[in-house]
Amino acid sequence: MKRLETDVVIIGGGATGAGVFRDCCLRGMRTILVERNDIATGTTGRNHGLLHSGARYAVTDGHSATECIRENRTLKHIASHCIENTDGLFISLPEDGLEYQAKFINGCARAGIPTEILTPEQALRLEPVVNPSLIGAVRIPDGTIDPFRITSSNILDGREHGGTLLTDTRAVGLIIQQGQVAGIHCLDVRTGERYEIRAAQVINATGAWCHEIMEYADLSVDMYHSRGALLIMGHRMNGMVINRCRKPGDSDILVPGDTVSVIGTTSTHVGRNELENMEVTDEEVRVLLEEGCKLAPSMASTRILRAYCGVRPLVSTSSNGSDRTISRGLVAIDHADSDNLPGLITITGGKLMTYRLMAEVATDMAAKHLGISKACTTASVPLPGAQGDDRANSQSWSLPNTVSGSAVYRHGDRARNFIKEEDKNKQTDLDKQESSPRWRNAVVCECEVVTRGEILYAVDKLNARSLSDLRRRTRIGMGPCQGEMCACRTASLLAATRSDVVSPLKALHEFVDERWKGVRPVLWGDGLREAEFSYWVQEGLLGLGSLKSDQQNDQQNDQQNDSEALIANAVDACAADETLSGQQAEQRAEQGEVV
Amino acid sequence: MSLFAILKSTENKSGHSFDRSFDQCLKCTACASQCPVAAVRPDYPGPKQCGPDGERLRLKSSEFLDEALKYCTSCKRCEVACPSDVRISDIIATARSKYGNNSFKIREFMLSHTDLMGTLTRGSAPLVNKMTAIKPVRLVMDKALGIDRRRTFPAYAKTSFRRQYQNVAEQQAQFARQISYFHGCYVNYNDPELGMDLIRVLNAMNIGVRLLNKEKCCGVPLVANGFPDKARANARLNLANFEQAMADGSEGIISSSSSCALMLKDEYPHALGIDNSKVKSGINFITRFLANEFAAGNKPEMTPVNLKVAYHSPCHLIKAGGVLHTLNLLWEIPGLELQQLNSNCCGIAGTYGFKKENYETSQAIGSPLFRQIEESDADYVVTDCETCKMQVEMSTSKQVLHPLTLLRMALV
Amino acid sequence: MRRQCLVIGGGLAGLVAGIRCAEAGLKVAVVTSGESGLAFASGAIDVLGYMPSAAGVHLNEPVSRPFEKIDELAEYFPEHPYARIGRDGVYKAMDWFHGQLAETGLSMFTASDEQQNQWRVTAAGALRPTWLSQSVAEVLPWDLQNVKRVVFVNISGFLDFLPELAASGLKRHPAFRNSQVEALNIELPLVNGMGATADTMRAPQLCRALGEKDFNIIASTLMEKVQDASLVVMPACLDSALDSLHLKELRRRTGLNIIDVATLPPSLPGIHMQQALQHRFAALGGFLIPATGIRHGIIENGRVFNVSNGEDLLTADHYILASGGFFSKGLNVRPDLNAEQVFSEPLPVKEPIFGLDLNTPEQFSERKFLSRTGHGFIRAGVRLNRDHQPMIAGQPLTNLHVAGTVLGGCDPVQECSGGGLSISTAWQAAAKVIADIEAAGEKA
Repeated sequence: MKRLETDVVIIGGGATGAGVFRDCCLRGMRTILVERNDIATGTTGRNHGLLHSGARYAVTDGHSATECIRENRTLKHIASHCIENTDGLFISLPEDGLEYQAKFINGCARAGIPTEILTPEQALRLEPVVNPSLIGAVRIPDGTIDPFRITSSNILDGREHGGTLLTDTRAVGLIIQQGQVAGIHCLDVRTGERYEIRAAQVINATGAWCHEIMEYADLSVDMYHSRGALLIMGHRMNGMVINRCRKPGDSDILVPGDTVSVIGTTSTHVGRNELENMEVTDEEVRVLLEEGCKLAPSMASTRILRAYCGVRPLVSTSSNGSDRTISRGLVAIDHADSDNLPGLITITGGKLMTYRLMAEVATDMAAKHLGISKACTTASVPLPGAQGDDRANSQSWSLPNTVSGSAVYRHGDRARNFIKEEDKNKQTDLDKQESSPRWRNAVVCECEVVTRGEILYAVDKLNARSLSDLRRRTRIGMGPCQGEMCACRTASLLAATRSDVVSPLKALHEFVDERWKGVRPVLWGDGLREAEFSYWVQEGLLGLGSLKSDQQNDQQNDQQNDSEALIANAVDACAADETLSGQQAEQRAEQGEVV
Repeated sequence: MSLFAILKSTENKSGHSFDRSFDQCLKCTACASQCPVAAVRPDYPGPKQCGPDGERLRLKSSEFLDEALKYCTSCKRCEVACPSDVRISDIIATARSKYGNNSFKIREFMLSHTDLMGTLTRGSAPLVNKMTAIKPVRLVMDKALGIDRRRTFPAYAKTSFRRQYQNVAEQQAQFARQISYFHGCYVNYNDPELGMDLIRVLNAMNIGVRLLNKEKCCGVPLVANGFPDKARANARLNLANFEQAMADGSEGIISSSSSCALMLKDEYPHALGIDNSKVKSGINFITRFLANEFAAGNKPEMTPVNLKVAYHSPCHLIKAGGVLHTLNLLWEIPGLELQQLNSNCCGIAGTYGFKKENYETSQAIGSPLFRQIEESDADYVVTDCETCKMQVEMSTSKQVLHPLTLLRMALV
Repeated sequence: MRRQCLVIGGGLAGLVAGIRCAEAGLKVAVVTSGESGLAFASGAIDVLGYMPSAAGVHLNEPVSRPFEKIDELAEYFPEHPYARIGRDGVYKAMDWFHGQLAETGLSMFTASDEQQNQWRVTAAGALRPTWLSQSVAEVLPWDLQNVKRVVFVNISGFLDFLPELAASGLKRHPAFRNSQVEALNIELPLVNGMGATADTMRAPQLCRALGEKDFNIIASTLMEKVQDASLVVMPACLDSALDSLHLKELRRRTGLNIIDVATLPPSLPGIHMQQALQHRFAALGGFLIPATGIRHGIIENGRVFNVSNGEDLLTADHYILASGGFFSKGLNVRPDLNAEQVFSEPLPVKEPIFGLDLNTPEQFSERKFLSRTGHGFIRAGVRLNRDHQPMIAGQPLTNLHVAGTVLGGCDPVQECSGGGLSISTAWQAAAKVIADIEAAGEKA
């Protein structure tokens, strides 16, 4: 059996895992990250994208608030291309009263969060979309952060510092020898290949799923899984983040993110068996809209693109109480100390805002065991993309501002790696060197202005293997039409240029069904009209459905069942393996026997 | 507080009123396939990308403004094509004036300030007409001002319409019913005869025609050439005069120009953000007013006009939904053999085609229409718009009549 | 002047209804608001390509002789619009339509046996059964044998034709497992493109950008590289006129079987179809009234008295409603912002102009977007009584006739029947109007 050797293996490619990956690589550790799907597919890719100032926790959780404002400042420095300094408002509506506002301002002051009290008129001038019946507002340094981009940038930096990323790779067991975790058993979900990664430290960064990894070592943790639903609106309704100035509740944050706005969230406890394939319910949609309209009444007449939900990885401290009273603080467990099981570290809890801090804490633990003394630099060294100011540069390119601006907006200084300067006099060596320079600036997705060059760059440098991966790297198909035509164009582009990616037709069908999943809960108005139009184009005009005949459908279902069975078998096999005595296992491992 | 209550309570105090129709865009490309500019100018990304797509980006930052927006002629074919009621052309025009760099240009000033130009030429019309017809003068206009030398300039009339009206003013006051006529720059300076036709037709229906105390250019050329503030100032003056006219007992305000009428009635609120709700329902393009009168039984006595005519519907009339009324009217003229031309843009788009850099584009846009006109065996072309008339007469062998002129010909 | 018939909607169904009325000498006007689906359609006319799935049974065999299947269809699906028209009616309508198009200069072809379906190749490499096509390839017979080499040829940089995807798509079809299927991109100077490149163009712009030199390069490249191809598939961007002269010339020069297929929207064959129908309607003396969206109708004594666009009243003796589906706003589902419960569940489907009674399937959508079962929302539409009349709260309207997508009752996308449904229902509605007017005339 194939075996890889490394210092650290990280399980989970969310923001936290990616942050640990970067941190380990920057400190010179040999590092591998395994992720069962693609990066940012779990909780990371399913939240608001709010760059908290900490104000939301100022009254209820001072510790989280302090953490947030510190990380807020750090991220603005290291990840400028993933962040917009929009600032935010905490508005008080007549039904809220102004009592909470006083508490709120005190809390912010204690946590070191700057506030500015505004009159309703001032607030409306700053943010015209806000409910005009507000009675007061406070301005705070909230912002927006793109979760996909920040994860991808961390991964990119880690890889550029020697790290290895293995997506579509599932950890199906822990290698435990002589009372110590010595690596993981892996399954390549695409090929069915099984292999092991030997590592001195295994870092479990699987967030809401961390209990599954811990169970491989018969450990347990009391997770409180809180599911949150959100809606994406058709355009950027608001310039600033809008919050309700009251005790945190359902659907009270409206965040502008790139070209859209996101309203959320709800909060429902879910069992650990309900974490996969979650669908947003009609009731959640209703609550989100009714409460959201109180923040911004024009939401009632704004198009809704899709609905989605994620699950918060909260660690329970008591069995009663709703999730909003449970601390959003990070939980780092060095199992060497807590369970006498060296070699395993679990990092969970926390939130997107504190991913870097969580990574630092986990990496410190690993570094201590590995005897590495190099200090953490992730708070001071900017991420790839934030290392130069290309925003100014882009204006001088001889390209439409929509094209150059969107490239720089998403990739910062790295945009230069795929944008082609058309003006011969301004071309750099890179423009001239390019082996296949044609059509790099062709706009494939018109809603989000994604170029052919950006797609190829994401495939080459950002480990995108399917259309959905590309969506997370480039925003392709995330606009109002949800990939009606650009998905087909991109599939053809993949078919033309790459052989190591997923079958373009399969990728296209996966993509279309994934988009549809988000549209179905909000299938009315212009979203319904768009769906009918997409149906005419994709099925009527192009006949995509027939390119996956029912027979093949069945086969595909079988395959899917196969892969689920494969995973189950692999997990069982590993579990059985762990029951062998450490010595036997070691012997078998040395013989390279298939287990 | 229920959602219903919130929506009710915020209905009238919304903090902003910018056009959000781009939100309804389905990315269907209907506008792109109908855009006459994109059809002949591949460097123009088309109405979809410049309008609703671009607007979503510009909401992020004004840095996303694309320079190519300047190629739009505001013909509004995109809006007519749009199955989702997106005000594409308004979005582009607004973005241009909101984010764009509006440096002053003498040519745009000349072309757009139609009332000023008309006033300046008053009394010297024959001279100006001769001048603008002379080759060296055209060459200077071409080189120095960028007004294409191949373009025929509209001739200025010897006596303005307002002055000619003085001769009939007393007689107009005799009618029990009174309506105010926004004659616009073209009728006043270039084609007073059309204004006189309007008076004859309305008089035959027992309606007297008044002029407004004062009127300024409706604003169409000002908006198209980047003078939105001047357009707003004109709009306020015009609206004040409309209100005065209504207060003085006028039934409403009519215009014989389809573009002026669209501006006065629909674009003042949409493109300029100026509230005209007090008088809006009283503003009408002449054919709508007449068709409604006819339908109500007030039809003048007519004799057959034994002509074959081909009707070209101007872009702005289409956009205003006015084709219905012009057709309704033409259907009523006895003896008239009416053929509807395919709905193609003539290419002039107001002042757009006068600009040197647009000349080729303008003629290319119009060529399918010109071909169809030449191939038809019609005696005349009929259209409601003065710039369409100029363009068709310059580019084809046929003479162009206004529907009012045909009606006047039918009067007993 | 009052019209005898007012058609609401200028898409395929509306124009067909208008043409039929104008042909019968009626004073008819078509009011439209926004483009219809024609501008993004394939430009081919389907009648019936697949039988709809019944009670969970999916019939995957393509229909070879569509008219012959209509009786069977009617038996299983009495609510299907075809069931109301019947086999003969559908055939008559389609034959008449074919004849009307012939008058416009747009060439449309059936298979050599006119009762037979033919294959339409899509820009993604799928095969769809269709009846009338603007571009025939003699080498693609219904039984699909001995197709050795197929080449999808694109203009390099053009984004709206998908040659590489199409090549892998066509290979999925059992008949092409052993064929050589490939993609070829031809670099062109685009002599009329004013310096712009193909990647910035949609099909109509690309069409204008092609000049003589470009056609020469296309011809010589095809001769050089794919001379033995059994079939060459190109994007429909070669001809701006209805006569397909460039395509014919390219076939002549290369001796190859070349077909051009509809690109991603906007689609030139769809636009050509629309132009042809509009010309025909105008030539017959019909009037097209653009940018006039009908908002509501005024009903008196079981008859539509007049309709309004919000500002003006339009009056006619008869009305044909061909306002389309959700896309065209013939139907809608939306939260009622004036209701106490704004986001009530489930939101109802409505026909906004008259508030007609509708059939709405219980299952509104399926979990998979591209599934053989189709979607419930596509089947939603106007309910008709036994006399084919629409109703409001069960009360029939005698001078309102309904045609096209707004009828619902089936999933034409899955069935490959959209063209035939629009044409035959419109043809039938117009026939009813003509008959009623004749009867009234006789009475008088």
